[in-house]
Amino acid sequence: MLRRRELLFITNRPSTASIAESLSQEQSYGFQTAATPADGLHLLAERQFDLILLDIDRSPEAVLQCLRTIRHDDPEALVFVVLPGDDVSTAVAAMKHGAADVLIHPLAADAFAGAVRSVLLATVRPPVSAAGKNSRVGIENNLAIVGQTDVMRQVEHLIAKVAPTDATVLICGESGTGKELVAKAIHLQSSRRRAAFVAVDCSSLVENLFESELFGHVKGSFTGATVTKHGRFELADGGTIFLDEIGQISPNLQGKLLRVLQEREITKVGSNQVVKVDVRVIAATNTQLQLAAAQGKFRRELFYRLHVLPILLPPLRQRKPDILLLAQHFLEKYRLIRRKNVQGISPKAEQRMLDYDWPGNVRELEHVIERAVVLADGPVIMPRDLTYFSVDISDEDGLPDDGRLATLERLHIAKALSSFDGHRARTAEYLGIDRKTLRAKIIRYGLSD
Amino acid sequence: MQDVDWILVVDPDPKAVEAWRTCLAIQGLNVESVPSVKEAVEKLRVLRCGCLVIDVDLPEMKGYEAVPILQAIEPSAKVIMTASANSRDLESKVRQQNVFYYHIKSFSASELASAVSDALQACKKSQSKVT
Ligand SMILES: Nc1ncnc2c1ncn2[C@@H]1O[C@H](COP(=O)(O)OP(=O)(O)O)[C@@H](O)[C@H]1O
Repeated sequence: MLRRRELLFITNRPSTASIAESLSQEQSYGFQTAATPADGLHLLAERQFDLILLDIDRSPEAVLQCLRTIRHDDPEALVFVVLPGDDVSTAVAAMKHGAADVLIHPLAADAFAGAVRSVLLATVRPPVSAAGKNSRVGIENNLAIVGQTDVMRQVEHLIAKVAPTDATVLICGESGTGKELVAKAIHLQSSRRRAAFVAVDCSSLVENLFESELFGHVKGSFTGATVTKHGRFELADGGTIFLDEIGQISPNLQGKLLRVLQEREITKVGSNQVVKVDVRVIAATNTQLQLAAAQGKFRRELFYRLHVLPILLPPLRQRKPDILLLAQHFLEKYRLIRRKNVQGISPKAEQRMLDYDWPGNVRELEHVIERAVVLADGPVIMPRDLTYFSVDISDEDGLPDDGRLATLERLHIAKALSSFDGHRARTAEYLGIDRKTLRAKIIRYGLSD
Repeated sequence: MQDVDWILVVDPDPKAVEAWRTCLAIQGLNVESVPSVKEAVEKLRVLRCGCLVIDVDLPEMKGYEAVPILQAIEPSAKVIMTASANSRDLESKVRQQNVFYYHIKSFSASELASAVSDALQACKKSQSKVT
């Protein structure tokens, strides 16, 4: 079960102490205060905190010394340091010593609340008791990839290996397995992290618009002046472009992309001028790109260019030990966002999650937990709070005698229809299918009125 | 909950609004328009939109500054940003937001219509990826 978040405020400033107190009440964090660094270190020796705020009216050296000691004793400690706005050199030193953030003195309640929320949302510290195992795979700039299976550890290794190289990477996996998350992790661990990370869905725009979005467009206006649209490649200069669903791009654009990878240059629609770009390409696919290349449906040269460093993300059903860990991660995230006091998941609900196949992978798990947090009446998520994408397997009504999937689907659709008073558009939206599919299923299962 | 087929145009220029209305109506799309961010916020409280067409020049703020505000109310809506004139700096600011398509107003209106229809499709697709 997850603990309540615990914050430690090391501060001898009354205004900070009162901001801390009201924030903790408002966002239901637990907190402790220590008026001196020594008291703070004493508390830290006894227990772990999710976040530490260091705001002491002492010399910069004393503040840095305290930060160093905290991080030496616990290299993973998240520490916010409050410093005067004009003391840039101490701020830089604090970041070098691993401060999670530097806030400006006097502490502003809003800025502090926002910073706390974003850091705590993005990072979940596993309890120290977890057999000394750190189950977060590579947290970099607050990006948490959760997983404890060997395969996820290998992915972590690969990310660390490929990130600094600038090489093109192809991430393969079903929808919702975390391809974009991995792409972001690569970007954030690379030397390009301060430049843009631009994500592009290659399947969402018709070809001519997609080309203009990617490479830009030059056009004469009726006043005679030329107007230039720069496009995503040019504006991602120095950064990383993430091309999702790369298998969907047209043969014409495959050729243009190949040129970008070979020559590092683009040409805008309506122009002959060549523009040099320095962009790292990370591509992702949920289809068998290799097969498409072998069948001539995807340009082979492009496939080989992209396939230099492939990373494979297996579906969630093939990494069951990650399910509960991810569930806890999302529980923590949505508990804070939804401001609900949901602390854990019942063993029966956990078992249900382990038994399920997760066709929508981690994305589906995230949605299921978000919905469960909203639905939960008490502090613990029960099986009835779990509404799956295809099947509602709450144990309230028991399972039908006939365990066939079709029977469960019929039951689920009937329940959904009745809870939306027969409103098909809403039912379809709720079920995550389009209206046509719903209509076909209603006919097939004889559910029409 | 239904009808993500609606499009909300946020643009203070009546001429642009009229042009978008005409070209989108031909495609049978449902268009609502408002001249300001304040009215857009009010409209989004009562209308579910799959696509927001936001101009860069709005009375209260820049269109790209309005994106996070309007997306907080309608997270699944795709945003198309329009601008009369472009610069690298402006486009860079636009692209720092989660923008589906960037349309320069002097380019053809049919381009916008096509982008809107793709945006509605993409909105439906992301919703069906597991709701
Ligand atoms: N290992 C993971 N740890 C934490 N969150 C994850 C993990 N894998 C996926 N997610 C989350 O699941 C959702 C879907 O992931 P995403 O990267 O968009 O998948 P894909 O690009 O493969 O469709 C995102 O919200 C992402 O943050």
